[in-house]
Formats: sequence, structure tokens, C-alpha cells
Amino acid sequence: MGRGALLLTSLLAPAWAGAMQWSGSADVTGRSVDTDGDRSKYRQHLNLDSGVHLQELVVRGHRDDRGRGLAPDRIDISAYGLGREPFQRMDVRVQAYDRYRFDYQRRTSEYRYDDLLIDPADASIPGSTGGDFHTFDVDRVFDRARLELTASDRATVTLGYDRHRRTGDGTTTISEQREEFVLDRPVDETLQVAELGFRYRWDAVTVTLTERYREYDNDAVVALPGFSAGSNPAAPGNLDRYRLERPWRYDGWEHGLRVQARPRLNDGRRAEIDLDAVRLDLDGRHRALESAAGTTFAAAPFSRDRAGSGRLDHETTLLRLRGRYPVSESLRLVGGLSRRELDQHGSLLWDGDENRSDWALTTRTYEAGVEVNLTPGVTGALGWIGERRDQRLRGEGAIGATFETSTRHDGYFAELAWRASKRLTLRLDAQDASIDDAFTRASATERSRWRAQAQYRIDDAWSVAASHRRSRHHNANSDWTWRDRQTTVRIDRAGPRLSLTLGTTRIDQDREFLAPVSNGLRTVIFEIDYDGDARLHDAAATWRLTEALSVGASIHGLRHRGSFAVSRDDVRTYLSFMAPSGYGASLSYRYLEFEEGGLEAFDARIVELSLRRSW
Amino acid sequence: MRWFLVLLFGIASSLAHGEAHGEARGDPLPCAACHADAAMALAHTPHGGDMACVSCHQNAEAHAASPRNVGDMLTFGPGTGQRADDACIGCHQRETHPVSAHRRAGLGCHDCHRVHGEVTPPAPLPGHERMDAASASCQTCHQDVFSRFAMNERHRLTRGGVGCTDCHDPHGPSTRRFLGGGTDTCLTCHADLAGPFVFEHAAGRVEGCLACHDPHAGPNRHMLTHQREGELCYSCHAVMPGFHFGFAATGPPRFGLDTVCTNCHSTIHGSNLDKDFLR
Repeated sequence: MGRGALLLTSLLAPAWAGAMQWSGSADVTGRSVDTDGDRSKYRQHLNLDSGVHLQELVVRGHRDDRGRGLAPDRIDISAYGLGREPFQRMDVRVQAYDRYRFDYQRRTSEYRYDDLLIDPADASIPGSTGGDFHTFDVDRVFDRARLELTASDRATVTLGYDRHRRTGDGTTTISEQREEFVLDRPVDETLQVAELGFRYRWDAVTVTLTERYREYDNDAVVALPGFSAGSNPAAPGNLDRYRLERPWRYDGWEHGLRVQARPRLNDGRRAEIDLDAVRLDLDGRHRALESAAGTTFAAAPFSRDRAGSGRLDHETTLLRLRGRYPVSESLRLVGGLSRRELDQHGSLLWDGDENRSDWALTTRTYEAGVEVNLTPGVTGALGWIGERRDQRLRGEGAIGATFETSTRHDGYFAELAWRASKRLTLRLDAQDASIDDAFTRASATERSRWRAQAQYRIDDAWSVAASHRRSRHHNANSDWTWRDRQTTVRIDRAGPRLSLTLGTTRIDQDREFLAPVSNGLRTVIFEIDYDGDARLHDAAATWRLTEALSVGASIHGLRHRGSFAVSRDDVRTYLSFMAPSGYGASLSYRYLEFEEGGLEAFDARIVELSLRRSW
Repeated sequence: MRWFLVLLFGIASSLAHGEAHGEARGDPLPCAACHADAAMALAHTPHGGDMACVSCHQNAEAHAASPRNVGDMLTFGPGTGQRADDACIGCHQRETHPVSAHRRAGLGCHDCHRVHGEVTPPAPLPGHERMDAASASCQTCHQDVFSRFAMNERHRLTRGGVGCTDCHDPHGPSTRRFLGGGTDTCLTCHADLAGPFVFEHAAGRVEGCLACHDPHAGPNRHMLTHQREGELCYSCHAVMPGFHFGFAATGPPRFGLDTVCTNCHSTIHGSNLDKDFLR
């Protein structure tokens, strides 16, 4: 699809090119990477390879007069990292003002994950503390295409198509015969969404109808990659053969209606009312086939084949009404209410056993408040938020029970912003909420957040910004408390020759909880007493030696202390030359040092040479 | 899916409209005589062409007659809040929401958007160079959040893997933590974890992904709210079958805070096979 969009643009662009003025830049980069230490951790965090790639391509075309017919008024093409980068992006926008706009975006991402974080000497196989045996080596590809057609002065039609593919390899664990076995888990899933939208606009009202068709496929397979001796040599449990196929898919429609009214009042101000109604109806099917053979924990041979299938029915309905009414030039009333319903049914016939689960969730939210302009420079807001939620789960088979709970959540928000002058801005905001019965013992029954921010522009070059945030989450049922405090300070200098930025952040987190865990016969108190902090520092300077030549350096540091320590230092220097003719080059050196838990560490030296051409 | 796409593009081709709409209104005031740069920059944007300056800069007559007198002209500067927004809302009804976190904070359209052509976003922080332009514009006010993306484990915002607007609607209310049954924001990228499943992890289905995850960044690889997985799971799971404690009547329990619970409960987000998420 990405190639198709580029091909289409390249075919059409010459025909339009004559009437357009083009500008842009291209940057081709060669890279050399040298690493020491844990290679898988390097892949997880940085994943940069040696070689040549297109670092950046930006092309912009526009015409001074307005085009007619299909001729665009503006074309924007940009691409980043094509070739070798783990995160690549390409955007194409073709725009004919008042007639159509076409957008295409492709993003590709490579994700690696391998996080065995336990010293083998401390690992306890029976205690499952041998680390996290899940690994991923997957690629994500997002394609998004959207065409907005202006059918008349008032009507607009939107067509959209999104596709997300995730493919690759991975491993997971299966518990079998009281042991954990590491198995292959290839990843292959696709989500596609097609959209048709119609919008009609009167002078003060816009109505939007949207139909979306959603289709999802997941070919989930877990398989033993060959003979496995099992994860615990001291135990007899073993697998000779294992394969589990559990593909699932769903498809369905989403119907959306939005009415947006912006009536002008007698005094010229506008009131605002939005009504949203969205219904999503998904039908799913799943099946499973499990085949296993080996030795049981009691040293007896076993062989097992099971099969099953089932259906999934997922419906959500959202109704939402929001409004805003300007009482005067300086006072506005705002409010909203919404109702969201989930109705979900799942069934499974597995090895002859029937299972069912039925979920019903209803969430109603309310919000009301005022926004004020106390003076031209001082604004404030104060309001109340509330939520009522009823949830019910009925199960048959494995889940042989019914759970029904209701929660109520009330709170307030307050904000104050003071633009004291063009140089100084201060902000304060607070949110506080209480929930009468949290669904989980780790969820908050009281939640508060306070934040203060200040920005001061000292002169045309120097500025300073600072913020402090404190949040507290507490569960009264389990006496569980989580506190989070963050302070950030940044100083910037933006000058024609010298640019500087210095920043520091400190995040402190602590959680206290005595968790009594019981198996019916005995109760053990797990003392969860987490006290961690992260300190982040960065500094960067760019010095423009001449019109064409500049040098720069940056350093980025992280020190984290918690359940285990993390440290990272990332240092970069560069020399850049840009000739008036539009040709340029830059040379950069980057050194990165990483260590986690005293167990996994790597360092990397990266040299890049970039050639740039702008026109 | 294919037939639906064919239908969509059939509709598209039949609706393709060849002519520009809207009559040129012309500019009743000689604004470009003094503001030539602004007029030129505007020409290369959707607001160019048939838009008059006074469509947005209302009450400009006094200023046109006497350039030193700004008078009551709408300038979109600080303090013009609702009045400035009203000027935008007249055309952009669709893009605005009556209840908005940004408007609650006293911000107007012009605090983020510039209509007079391209805007150079603020210089990215060190290591944030690959961030998309929309996210870069959020950085000015949300430095506290952006600092978190320098944590060890994070959504790959600074490398262009995701952008702020992939999850947040800057025109809408703040993203709610307590959305029952709501995993929509995360579903686009994490459809495999969002379900629906026959056996749901109730915490996720009822309270959403944020019951266990910190979406910006954190010290845990899976961006869990606790650095060690066992600490998170034991925060809720107070009762469990006996073998989790081992088979001895006394002594330390078999599993503890260092335990990676998902090594056995490997489908913890939901399963179509096993209520305990073992398959």
C-alpha cells in the first residue's frame, strides 16, 4: 500500500509540477555501530544498525493561485528513517483547498524484547523467579489512508482505511505438569478498519454520520520448538510434543452520529452543544486445538489431544451530551453527561465442557463547572465530576458464579492560570476524587493530583520553566497508598549563535501495602514497600561558528533506584556544515552506556555521517 | 473487507468534485498594504484564497482607518479567549468540543494553532529529535509528561513510534482513567490484548488498561505501575490456591514478590481457553 501511494503521487506529480513551486530537503546517512555487552538489551533499547539509510526526505509543493479540477494546491511528502531505522515513517498529503484532501501515512516499528532480569545464582525455578521468559521480535506496520471530499459548500464525504499488521517471532511459557516450558509463539495479526463518513453543515449545526467496518484476525499458535528437557532438571515433568493453535477473529460495524450545534446568542457569543451516539457491534469466533505428550510430574507418560471452539459477541453503546454556555464575556457554564454500556457474551466448548461468560457494564458520568476570565490575564475553572458504574459478570462452567458490584466516584477539579505578563505565566491545577468501592484492591478509593507550573521569559534569549506535581492514590479497603512526586526545571537560551538547554527532573514514588495473601489454610503477609526515585538530567548546546558551520553536544542521563537500579548515559557530539548552495554534511558521534539491575549492561559507540541537500 | 473498500471508492469517484466551492469574498480592507508578510503566508494555507482577513480579525475598521488604533479588533492575543475561539468555531464546528481540558486551562485555539502559515515547532529536547511535529508542540506546556519519556521503558514517542495525538484528543476532555469497558484508546495498537475474550481479566475489562499500566513511561518493561510484576499482582490477588504457597505447612511461600506471575499466567489480558489465563 505504501508503494502504491508513492507510485500514485509520483505519477500524478509531474502533471501538476509545472504549476507548483517545490522545496524540500533530503538527508542520506551512513552509520557505523560498535557495541559491547548484552546484545539483546541493545536491540531492546536502541536497535540501530550499521549501514546507509534515508534519514529524512521532505518535499513540499504549493501553487500561488488556486488550482481547479483535481489539480492540487499543495503536496507534502515526508519520510523518516527509510531503510534501516527501527522506526520509519512516511506521510503524503495532497490537498486541493475546498475540494479534497488526501492523507496517507505509513509507520513501521520494530520491537525487540528480551528481559531476563535475574542473576542465575539467585534464580529459583520452583519459585518462578528465573526471569521473564517472554520474548518478542515483532514488526508493526500501520497504514492509514484518508480522503476527504468536499461534495458541496455544506457537505463533506470522508473515506478512510486503516490497517495494522503485527508479525514476527516470540516466545511464551506454558505451565504443564507443574513446570514451565518456554515455547515458540509466532505473531501474526491484522486489524483493518474501513470508514465512510458524511458531514453536513448548516450555519450553526453540523451533523456527522460515520460507518466503520472493523475486521481483526489473529493466528495465534504456541508450539514446542523441538525436544525440550523442561525448565527444571530436578523434576521429572517433561514435554516431547506440544502444539496449541488458538486462532480468533472478529468483525463488525460501528455506527456513529454526532450533532454539533454552535448557536449564536443575542449578544453575539456562541453556545456549544454536542451530542454523540456510537454503537459498536462485533461478532467473534475462536477455536483451539491442543496436542501434548511427555512425562508427568509423577514420572508417568502422558498424551493429550483437546479441541474446542466458541463465539464472542461484543456490543458497546455510547451516548454523550456536552454543553457550554457563555453567561457573559467572562463566565461560561460547562457540563456533560454520558452513558456507556457494554454487553458481552463469550462461549467455549472445550474438551466436551461448556463454558459461558456474560458481561454487563454500565457507566454513567456527569460533569459540571464554570470557566471564568477573572481579568484578561487570569483564567480559572472549577467543577464537579461524578461517575456511577454497575458491573455484572455471570459465568457458567469454569466461571461458576455471578459477581455484581456498583461503584460511585465523585470529585472536583480546579484550575487557575495567570498570564502575569508576556514574560511570566503561572498555572495551578488540582483534581481530587473519591470512589466508594474500588473494583480492585490496588485501585484508588481516593485520588488527588496537584500541579504547579511556571514559565518565565527572562529576555529575548533566556527562559526558564519549572513544574511540580504531586499525586496520591489510596485504597481505603486495603490501606494501600501510592505517592508520586515530580519536579522539573528547564533553562533555555535561544540565540543566533549559541543555543542552550539544561533540564533536570526528579521523580519520587513510594507505595506501601501489607498484602495478606491466603490459601485457605495459612495467610502470609507480603510487605510491598516500594521506595524508588528517578533522576533525569539533560543538557544540549549548539554553537554556530559561522553561517555555514556549527558544532553541538548533548548529554542525557538517567539514574533510577527502586526494586532494581537502572542507569543510562547518552552523550552526543556533532559537527555540521551547510553551504549556501544547499549542500551540507554532518558528522556525529554518540556514546551510550546502559546498566540494569547490575545484571544486564551494554555500551554502544555510534558514528554517523550525513549528506544533506536542500532546495 | 474488499467489497466494502470497492464500495467506498466507488462512492468517492462519483462524488469527486471538480470545481472550487465558495465565492471569493475579497478583502474589504486594505490589510495587505501593511501586512504583506501575513497575507503572503496565508496564501499557502487553507485560509488563503477566498478568506478575507476580517473573517477572523473582526472589528478591524477602526484599525484600518487609524493603524495605531487596534481598538476592539480581534487580535487572538492573550486574554481574547472565548471571543477568539468563537471566531474559529463559526467555521470549525467539527473540531471543537464544549468540554475540553485545554479550554478549562484557559487556552484558546490560537495557543496551539497558527493560521498564518508554517510554524517552526520548539527545538526538541536532546534525544527527542524524531518526534512528530504535533507532539513537539505539546512539549512547551507538558514538560512534566515529556520528562517521563526519558525513563527507561516508555512508549517510543521520542523516536517517532507514536505521537501524543495517537492517544489523546487535544480538543476533547482529558482522557478518563475510569472508563468502564473502555480500552478504545489502546485498541488500535494492542488489539491482541484488548479482547473481547471468553475469560476476561476483570481488572482490565472493568477499569481499563490503566488499572495495571502507566501509559507514558516507567521503570517496568511492560510499563506496569509496579517495577516488579509480583508486587502488582499481589496488590489485588489476596486469595490463591494452596500450591502457590508450596506444599510445606510452614516455611517461606513458594512464590513471592520476585515471582514473574505471567510465566504461568501467560495470557493475563484475557483468554478464550482458560479462566486462569494459563493458555
